[in-house]
Amino acid sequence: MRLLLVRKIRGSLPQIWIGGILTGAVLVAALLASVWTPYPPDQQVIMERLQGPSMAHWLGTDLYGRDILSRILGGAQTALWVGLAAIGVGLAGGLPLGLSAAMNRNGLIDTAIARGADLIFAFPALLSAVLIAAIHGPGMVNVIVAVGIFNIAVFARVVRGAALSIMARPFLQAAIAIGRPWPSVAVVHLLPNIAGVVAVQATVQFAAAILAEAALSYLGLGIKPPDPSWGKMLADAQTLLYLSPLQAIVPGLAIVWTVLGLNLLGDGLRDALDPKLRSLRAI
Amino acid sequence: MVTMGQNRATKSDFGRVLRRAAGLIFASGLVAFAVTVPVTSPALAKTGIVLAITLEPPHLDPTAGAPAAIDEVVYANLFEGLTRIDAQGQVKPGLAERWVIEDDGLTYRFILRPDVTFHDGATFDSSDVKFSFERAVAEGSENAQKGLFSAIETIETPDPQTVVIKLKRKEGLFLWNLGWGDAVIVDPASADTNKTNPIGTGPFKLDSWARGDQIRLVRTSKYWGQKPAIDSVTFKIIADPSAQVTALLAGDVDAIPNIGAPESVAQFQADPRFVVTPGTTEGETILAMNERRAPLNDVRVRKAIQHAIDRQAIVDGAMFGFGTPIGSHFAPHNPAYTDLTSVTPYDPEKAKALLAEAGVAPGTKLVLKLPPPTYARRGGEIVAAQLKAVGFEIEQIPVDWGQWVSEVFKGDHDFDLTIVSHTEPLDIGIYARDDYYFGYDNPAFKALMTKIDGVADPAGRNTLFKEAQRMLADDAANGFLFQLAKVTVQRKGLKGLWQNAPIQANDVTGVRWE
Repeated sequence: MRLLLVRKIRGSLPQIWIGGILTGAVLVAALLASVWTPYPPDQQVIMERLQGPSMAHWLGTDLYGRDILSRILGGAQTALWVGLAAIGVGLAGGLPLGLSAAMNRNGLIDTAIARGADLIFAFPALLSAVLIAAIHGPGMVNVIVAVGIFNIAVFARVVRGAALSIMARPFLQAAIAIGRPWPSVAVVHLLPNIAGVVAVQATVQFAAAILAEAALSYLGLGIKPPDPSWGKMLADAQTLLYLSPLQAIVPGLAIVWTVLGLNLLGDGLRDALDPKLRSLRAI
Repeated sequence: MVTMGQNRATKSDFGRVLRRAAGLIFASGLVAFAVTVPVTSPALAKTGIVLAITLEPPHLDPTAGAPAAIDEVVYANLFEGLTRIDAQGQVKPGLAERWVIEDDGLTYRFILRPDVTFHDGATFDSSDVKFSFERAVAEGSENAQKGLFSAIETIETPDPQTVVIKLKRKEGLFLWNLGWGDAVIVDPASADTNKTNPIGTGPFKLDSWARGDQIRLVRTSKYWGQKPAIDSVTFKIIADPSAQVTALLAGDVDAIPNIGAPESVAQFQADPRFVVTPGTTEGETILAMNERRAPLNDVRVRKAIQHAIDRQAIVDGAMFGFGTPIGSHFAPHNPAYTDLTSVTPYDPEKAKALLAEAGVAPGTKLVLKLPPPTYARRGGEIVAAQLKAVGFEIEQIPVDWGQWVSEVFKGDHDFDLTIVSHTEPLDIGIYARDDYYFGYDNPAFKALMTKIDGVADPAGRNTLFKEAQRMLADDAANGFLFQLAKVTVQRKGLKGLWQNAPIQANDVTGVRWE
């Protein structure tokens, strides 16, 4: 199964490669930031504030004389943490829920899960995130919880749909017919077959989580200062646009870079893994 | 195949689209140019003004609440007191035409102006004065500054034009106190509804209030004094500093009396369409410390915190140089001011030594709650870094004003540190209050404040005020940061806005277009 996935990806679209490289760069930046940044991200030198790019500060300094490059790298770490954790929460909750819903098709559990997901979708994701942040105060954990809860519903739905389509297939019917227990069927047969769909969804949700973190931090409900966050950097840059446009351009580009990378990767993966689209391209 | 065909068509169109786009951009540039030119010419004769204010007042009764935003709309414009504070901070006659202080220094005889009416047509006389002051100190009164009236023994109204106030003790600042927004004169008939439908004696009356958007006052036809040159004033509520800047640039507002984004000042200074006036306020910006809590109840720790703070760096970093470092809770422009910034100068090594002496371990966590204004959020970021440098771990929590009032100012006082500007004039007396939010409790200071109240002679008072300032600095009662500046940015040709803010007000009675 895994081999097939790899082969599908290898022979496929340029956006996977472009997306992969963009995303990979962010990953490297985040890993780098965990061991080294040019300066500590929160080190202030007020006398050197709002400088343009120089040898000492490649991307200049911010309002408090902090090195922008260091904060961008630190921000990458923040963004990836939030993204990964939100996906983790989403998968941890959504996968089992989606699978049980699929196996209990139209039963009580299925209905309950579907209505639960409807409930969560009924609130705009950002609004519920703002709600949680407003109740529990700003902070990284609350951002993760807020975005994660939404992701649970997303993954539950995606997993259920994908699992149902696989369950109609003969090999799975056969597995059930010979009496393999449900958990075993789910792990051995269902999971590998829906992995592609889930992976695609994960890249999309990853990008959404990063945007949500940026948006919440921009609103002052996300990452607490002085921890670096791209959204917070944008918010701080707002009144400085005339004075030092770099303050807004750099974190803005970082967000665009990351989200574009993840979306390209997700699109490419979807196209590569979707049999219908593949057959279309072949015509 | 179909898709490919479409792609090709798009490609061949691309050049044309690009050319068209270039043309459009060029054309819009021309339009923008054409639009900007007439703005500088005095084509429009303006009769009203629009001011941008940061905070929306919760209501419009200055006698029933502390928020400065109330006074910044209604003071002198809509409501008037017996005396008024002018742009220079001097006490001037208001509804009282003149007054006589008897030789005992305890009896004030006010002669009221004749022919004064409230906006609803009710006549103003001495009974309104008696009513207003008695209402202010009555049980259940919401007046935020009851202390202004605490010296009053009796109020007599021998005739409609005369008020005789007898004091329990000599009060050097009595006439000044009566000039506050909290001491304006209201009419018994309308007093209870002033919050939403303010009825005063000022030259402007309320026209409309679109909540969350703007408050509009219009000139009354009947005013006892000089008729203002402008016929209306609109206070546009714009909380976001960058939106204020944009609104001024776009011509939506005529002036920002107190710009929230000091970094945009340079941009306006370079623009001939605008005039920038730096001034001062009565706002002592402090790093308030909750002295109910360990380790902040230890004077050595508080001193260490003050030593850890580089005041000038905060003024430069947070306020772009606008502001004056202070060493105690007193405004530098006040004659009684004494510079005490040298009592606890910036000295991180000394701070560390003091902390070690007080047994405060490195990594001790303190919660710093920051209300919305620029001085607090940005100042907090810098203060946190400076305190981190001497070994504290600071958790910055941004809060809105409602939260700040309920969590820090009232209730359980759930905070270690907070940054706030105390904008009431001459408010060093807050350190004598019982159970005030920062919990400073010093009987010697309280005694000193009582003593000052009894001294009428200005020189004597100033000496005592200096003593009080020193006491607070020696006790490091709070972290004293800087005196808040008031930078006004206004459209060229607009004259008469206050440069300084000796009292919370946007007095537009003298504003005119030239």
